[in-house]
Amino acid sequence: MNKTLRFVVATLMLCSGSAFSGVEDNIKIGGFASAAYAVSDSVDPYSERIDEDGSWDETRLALNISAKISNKLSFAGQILMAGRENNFDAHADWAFGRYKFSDTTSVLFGKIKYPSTLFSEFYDVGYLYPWSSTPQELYNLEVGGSGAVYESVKGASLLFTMMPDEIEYVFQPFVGNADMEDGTMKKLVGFMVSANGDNFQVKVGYNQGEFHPGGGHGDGGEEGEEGVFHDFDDETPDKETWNFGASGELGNLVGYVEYARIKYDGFSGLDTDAGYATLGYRINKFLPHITFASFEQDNGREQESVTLGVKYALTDNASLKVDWSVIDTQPPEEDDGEGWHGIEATGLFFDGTDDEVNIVYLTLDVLF
Amino acid sequence: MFNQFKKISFTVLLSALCTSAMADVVVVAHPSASDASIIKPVIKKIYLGRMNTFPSGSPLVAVEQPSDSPTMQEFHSKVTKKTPDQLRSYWAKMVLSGKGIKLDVLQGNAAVKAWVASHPDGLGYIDASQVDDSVKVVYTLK
Repeated sequence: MNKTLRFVVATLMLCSGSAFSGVEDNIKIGGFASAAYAVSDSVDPYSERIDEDGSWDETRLALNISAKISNKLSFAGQILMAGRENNFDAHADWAFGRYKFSDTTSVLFGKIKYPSTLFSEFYDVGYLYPWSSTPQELYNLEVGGSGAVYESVKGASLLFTMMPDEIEYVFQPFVGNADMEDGTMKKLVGFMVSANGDNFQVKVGYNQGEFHPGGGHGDGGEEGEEGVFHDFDDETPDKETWNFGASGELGNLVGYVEYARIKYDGFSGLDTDAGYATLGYRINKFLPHITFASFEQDNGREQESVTLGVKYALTDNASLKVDWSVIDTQPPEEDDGEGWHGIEATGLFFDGTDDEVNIVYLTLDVLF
Repeated sequence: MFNQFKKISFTVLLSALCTSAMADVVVVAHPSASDASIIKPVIKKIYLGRMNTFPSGSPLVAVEQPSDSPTMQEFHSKVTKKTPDQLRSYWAKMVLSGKGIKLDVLQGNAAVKAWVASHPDGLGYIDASQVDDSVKVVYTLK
């Protein structure tokens, strides 16, 4: 039995025995799954995965476990297997302990989900957002993506929450290291501040650290492999990220907007602005939506996309989505006749493309 | 074609832009609970997983009712101001980011009352018509 099958069997066995644990139980098990297919009209792979041959690599399954040790101490973790990462091998997406000093103050320690952007803490939980995948101009985790989001931070974080009236305010500073596909962020220090109302959320984040090319869980940083970071040589430039996000619901209208500015000290050509705006309107079980997204590096490499999609609530815990994206890209401005420092990428087509590309996504999301 | 696509997208979006009376619900605690009453903002924090102590400081364990229960829907429309769908998403975000542990769900008013009556740290909500001496009312939803 291969690893994937063993994981699925183990998940089902655990769920069948414990998913609906009783009120006296202190261990709770749940999770989510997304079956996702994407196909484009281009031979050039988008984000290393999606081309005219189609891809199931956005498919993922996760098992989440929470254990309440006492009224103050709890542990939680999530095992994820995703097509985009090592062909569905199961790994710990995050796992951390939480100690509550009081109802307003906690400390988290371990492998913590990156808190700064609207969807970074549940990046893979497709049920929780309207698109088949979060807007890649900001959320792409691959080599050559915006670098605005990390999957997790290995370290510690304080969590302050206050709800003096109808609005909850959260302040979450954090320190640690963050693995990236193309390296590691070390000495990462940052914070997230958010205000959460009944029908809106506003979030601001900032962090900085040392970017160490290579050594992440991907295989980037190798000469000739990706072409993006080998000019760093042995340098570890400071990287700084500011981001802002807001979401809201007004009647049947829903909206999301996010923006991030990423800066690399000494490599200003890689400085990046990334963001998107989404508007949707609920019609019974349907949520049609439209998204405009942009990725722009100071070296001239750009991407703009428009996505039309519909999310349909199949059941209380399952949704079906269809998205259609049209993507327009630009390569970096040449500085030596071979592109900007040898980078061949145009937008998030890391091997480049000359085309305006259409991508269609079909996704089934489930919570359990 | 890109600009044409933008125009089509706007058109589609614009075309898409063309929704009882209930019994009172009361929040109940064990008769031995030291708190005589709990204010609504505190109840909201408890049922959003942001607080697990009574205002007096003693630990509490709150229990939920099923999302298809009229009592649940009435309670949350007035306290957390969230629909069952919004609550499901809220708790999924809390649980799947590791920042909260979902409250346990008991099947209906009778089960909640019996459980609270047998747990000194228990808190629940039930239809007001179900109240008897086995539990103490700490808040009445108006």
